[in-house]
Amino acid sequence: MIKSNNIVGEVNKKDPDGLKTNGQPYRVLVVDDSGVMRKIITQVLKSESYDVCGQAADGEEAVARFKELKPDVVTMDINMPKLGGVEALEKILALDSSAKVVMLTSEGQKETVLDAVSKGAKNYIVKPPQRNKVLEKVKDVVNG
Amino acid sequence: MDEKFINAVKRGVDDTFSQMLGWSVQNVAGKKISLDQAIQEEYCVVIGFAGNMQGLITLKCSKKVAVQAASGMLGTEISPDDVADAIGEILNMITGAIKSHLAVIDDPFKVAPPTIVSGKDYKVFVKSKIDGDITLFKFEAEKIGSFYIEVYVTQNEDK
Repeated sequence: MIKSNNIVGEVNKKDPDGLKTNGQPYRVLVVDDSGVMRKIITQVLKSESYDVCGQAADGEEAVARFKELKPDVVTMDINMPKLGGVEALEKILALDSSAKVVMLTSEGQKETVLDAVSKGAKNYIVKPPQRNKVLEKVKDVVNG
Repeated sequence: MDEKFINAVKRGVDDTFSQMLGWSVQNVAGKKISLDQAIQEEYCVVIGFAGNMQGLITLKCSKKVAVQAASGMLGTEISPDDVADAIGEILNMITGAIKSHLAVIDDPFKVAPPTIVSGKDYKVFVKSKIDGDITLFKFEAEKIGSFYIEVYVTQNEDK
């Protein structure tokens, strides 16, 4: 088995980003139709002590899981079956206008990303996801 | 296929493998082939695209390369579903990177989700206006093995 140091990296046990000042972890809902991508994002976030409280594989499931879990932040893929990421973002913001959603997108989707940001996404991550970028953007959003 | 598209493919593959897996890949060949000469490998990912340009792109590789890629992405125990999912996601990112490198062309195409085939006896049939020529790129990942990108592309005359 090959260990990936490229994306997931080491676990940070010293002052991790994923903890609030009261010591409780920020709760994150990870949404992507790729199971591998969900695992990667989950591993990266867990390495900084974020609590990945749920996952969803399409936009409809994302909206349902958001209602149920009320996470602090959502990472949302854009291209998904049933309901796309931008449409799911709009439904989530209709439920909770203060929801914090970070879009996850492949390169070459500039217009779609700008559309998502104009509709209320707080930030975006470009795939392939790099550990430091994922953590930096999620940290900015939870602290923003 | 014009030089700009060829360079976009090479850069897209290189960017994706280096950023996602830390692999250095060398493009060892790029040539025109006919549909009958298409490569057959145990894993085949197909992504269609349409817009100002239309066609499809495939990633073909051995099971060994596919497993190494999935392991490299996850760094944990992997299932056969993870392997298929991982290589589908890799081609998805390559296609996005190619589109990004072609950004000077106004919105070159929209991308469909990947389809992954695994097995040893299959053939990809292309029913479109594409004239039958495919550009085949062979890449070599050091100590891992070869994989192939095939691109079928045409300008959409309706646009």
